[in-house]
Amino acid sequence: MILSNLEVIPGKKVVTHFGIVSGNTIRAKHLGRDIMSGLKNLVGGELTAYTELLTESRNEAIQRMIAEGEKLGANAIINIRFSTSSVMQGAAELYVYGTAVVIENE
Amino acid sequence: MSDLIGLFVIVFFLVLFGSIGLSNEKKSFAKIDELEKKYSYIKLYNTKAINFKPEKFEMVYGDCVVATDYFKMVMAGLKSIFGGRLTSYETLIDRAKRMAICRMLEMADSNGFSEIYNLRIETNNIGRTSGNNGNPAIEIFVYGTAVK
Repeated sequence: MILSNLEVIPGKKVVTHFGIVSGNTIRAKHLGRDIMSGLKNLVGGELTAYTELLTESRNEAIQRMIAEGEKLGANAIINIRFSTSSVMQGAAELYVYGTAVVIENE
Repeated sequence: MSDLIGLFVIVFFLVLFGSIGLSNEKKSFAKIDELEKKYSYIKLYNTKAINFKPEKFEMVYGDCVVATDYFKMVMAGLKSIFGGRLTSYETLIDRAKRMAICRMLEMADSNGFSEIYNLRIETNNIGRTSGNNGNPAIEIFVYGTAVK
């Protein structure tokens, strides 16, 4: 599966369009990590626990999007966009969407 | 009298944690400078047009979450009375942005890419969702398409 956030890829042409595929996750870290991050607020700086959490969840969302694309028989997802929104304290929704296509060399 | 002691204790801890935060920040800026130098051969574009035919392309991304500390919050609060540049927040966001870009560059570098197109930077406010509770945290997410 080829992923790209470009609309047109030079040297490749789109043969079939399958429409939008997307993946999302809503995740929260366990309480202990939240307390640790709260303490981190005293000195500030990077919250490694949250960075990890968001990276993991984003990868999961991407995997879900890829699975959806594979089910349709696509070999690439183009024009990928990310969006994030916080739904509650300590949890965030990560959403990723793109267009599933079949591309081949020109 | 006890009020005065209480105030003194609060100020003491503010300054103590603030100075720890500042020294951490200095260290991480040094690390970012080093990484930026290391990956300076990778060219970044936020345009979509590629004027050659790439043989391989892949999506790369990086992110970084930072939190403010109480010292920075107090400093920014005082500064906002008079207005102007809130330097304490500027450095915080700058640090997160550069760190996120460095992580993306690292991902591109490990797969041998030398150019990144259609770079997008996203800023999300996570943590503080309602009113003043919860720790304010900012996430910077950077993504683009690496080609070679």
